[in-house]
Amino acid sequence: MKSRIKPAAAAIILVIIAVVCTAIARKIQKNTYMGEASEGYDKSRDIKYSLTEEHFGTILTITLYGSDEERLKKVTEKSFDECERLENIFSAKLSDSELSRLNRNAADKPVKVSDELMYLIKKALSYNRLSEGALDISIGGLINLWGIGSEKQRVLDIEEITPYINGDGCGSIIIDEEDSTVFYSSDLVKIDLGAVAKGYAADSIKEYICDSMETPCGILDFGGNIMTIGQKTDGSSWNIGITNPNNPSQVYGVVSVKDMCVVTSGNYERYFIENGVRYHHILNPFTGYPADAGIISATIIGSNSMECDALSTACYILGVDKSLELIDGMEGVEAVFIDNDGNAHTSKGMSKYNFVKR
Amino acid sequence: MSLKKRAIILTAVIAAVTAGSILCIIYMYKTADTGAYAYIYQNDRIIQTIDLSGTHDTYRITVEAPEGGYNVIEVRQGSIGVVEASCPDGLCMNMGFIDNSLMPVTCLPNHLVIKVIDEEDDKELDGVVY
Repeated sequence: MKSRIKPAAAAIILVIIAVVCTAIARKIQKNTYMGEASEGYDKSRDIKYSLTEEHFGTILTITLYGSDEERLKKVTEKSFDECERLENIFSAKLSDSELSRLNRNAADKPVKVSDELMYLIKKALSYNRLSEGALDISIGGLINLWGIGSEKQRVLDIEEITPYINGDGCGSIIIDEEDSTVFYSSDLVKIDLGAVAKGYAADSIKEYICDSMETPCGILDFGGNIMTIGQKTDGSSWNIGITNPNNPSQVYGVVSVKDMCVVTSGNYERYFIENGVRYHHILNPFTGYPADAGIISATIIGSNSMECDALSTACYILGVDKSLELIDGMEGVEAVFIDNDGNAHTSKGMSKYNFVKR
Repeated sequence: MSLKKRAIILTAVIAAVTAGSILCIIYMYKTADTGAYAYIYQNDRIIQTIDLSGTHDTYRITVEAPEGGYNVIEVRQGSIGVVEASCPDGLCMNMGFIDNSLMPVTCLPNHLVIKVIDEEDDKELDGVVY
C-alpha cells in the first residue's frame, strides 16, 4: 500500500505543478503581448505598426500592417510629417498657418494662396452649392465667437449672431483662379476648413501610403474619422462601429468596408451644456446656432474622405429627409443617420456595407 | 502513525493543493480574459500603462503637463477617467469613465489622451467612428 501511494501522489503533484506553471506562463505571455502592443507592435501575425499624434485639434492614429517593421515605421512617420505640413496650411487655429494669414489679410486685398489651399477652398465651395448652403466655410468668425471647446465658450445673444448670418456667406469669398488669389468682400468672413481639412489629409496620406507600400493595409483614425486602406490581412472587410450618440461609450451599429472611409458628425464630440441645453460644435449657417434639424449622428461611407467629411457635416445640418434625398442622388456614397429618437435612417445602397444595429 | 492515517493525510494534502491550484487557475483566467489596459499619452508619447483588470482598489494619479496644466485621473477596476483638470473646457471630465477602446478620453489643452485597449472588443471591431 505504502509503496503504491507515494509514486501516485508524486505524479499527481507533478501534474498539478505543471498545470499551474502553464497557467502562470500564459498569464505572463498575455501581459508581455499587451506590453508590446503599447509600443505599437503585434508580432502574432503580420507586423502591426501603430502611432498616435495630435494634429488638427484632435487625436490621429495611423495603423499599418506589413512584413517589414522598419518600412512600416518609416511610412507612418512620414505620414505624420505630411499631416503636419497640411495642418500648417489649413488650420484656422495655428496663427502661422497659410489659412490664418489669408484670414488676416483677405478682407483688405486679394491674397495669393498655394495650389493646395486654392483646391480645398474651391472644393468646399462646391459642397456649399451641393448642400444648398448647409456646409458653409465662411463662418469661421462665428465659430470663433462661440468658442465651443475652448475657454471662451458661451451662449451667444441673437444680436451677436445676426451680422454673421445676414451676409452673403460663401458668396463673399471671391476667387481669382488666374492670379491664384482669394479676397473677402466682407470683413466678417473668415474661412474655416474644419469640415474638409481632416478628410483631405486622410486622402492625401492614404495616397502616399499606397504609393509607398507594395500591399498597403491599415487604418487611419483621424479623430474618429476612419479611412481603411485595402482589406484586412486575412482578406476580410474591416468592421467599423458607429458610436451611439446617446451613449458614446457604446456602439450603435456596425458597417463592413474594404478600402473605404467612414466619417461621422455627432453632437457628442465637442459641446458644452448650459441650463440643460447642449451647445455642440456643428453650427447651422442659416441660424447661427448649433444645428438642430433632427439628426444627432450623421455617418457617410465613400471612397473619398474629404467628400465624406463635407457631407457628414452638411447632412447633420440638413436633417433626415433632405439628407437622404441628397445622398440617394449621389454616386458612390451611402449614409446612416440617427435621429433625435435614436432611430436609424439609411440611404438606398447602404445594404452593401452590411449595416447591423447592435 | 498507521498506514491508513498517512494515506488520509496525503489524500487531504493532495486535495488541498488541487483545490488551491484550480482556484488559482480560475482566478488567473478570469482576470486575463477581461484584460483591459489603459494607456496614458502625453504629447503623443505613452507615459503610463495601467492594467485596469488587475486594479482592485480605486486610486488617483495626477499627470502634470509640461506647460503647467494638470489632470487628475481616477483608476477603477476595469475603467478609467479624468475627475479633475486645469483645462478651461472640462471636456475630459464630461467624457466620464471609459472601459473600452471605443472613444478615448482626450484633454487637448493639456495634450493628454487616455486609451483603453480591451482584448474582448478588439476582436470584433477594427475601428469606431465618432
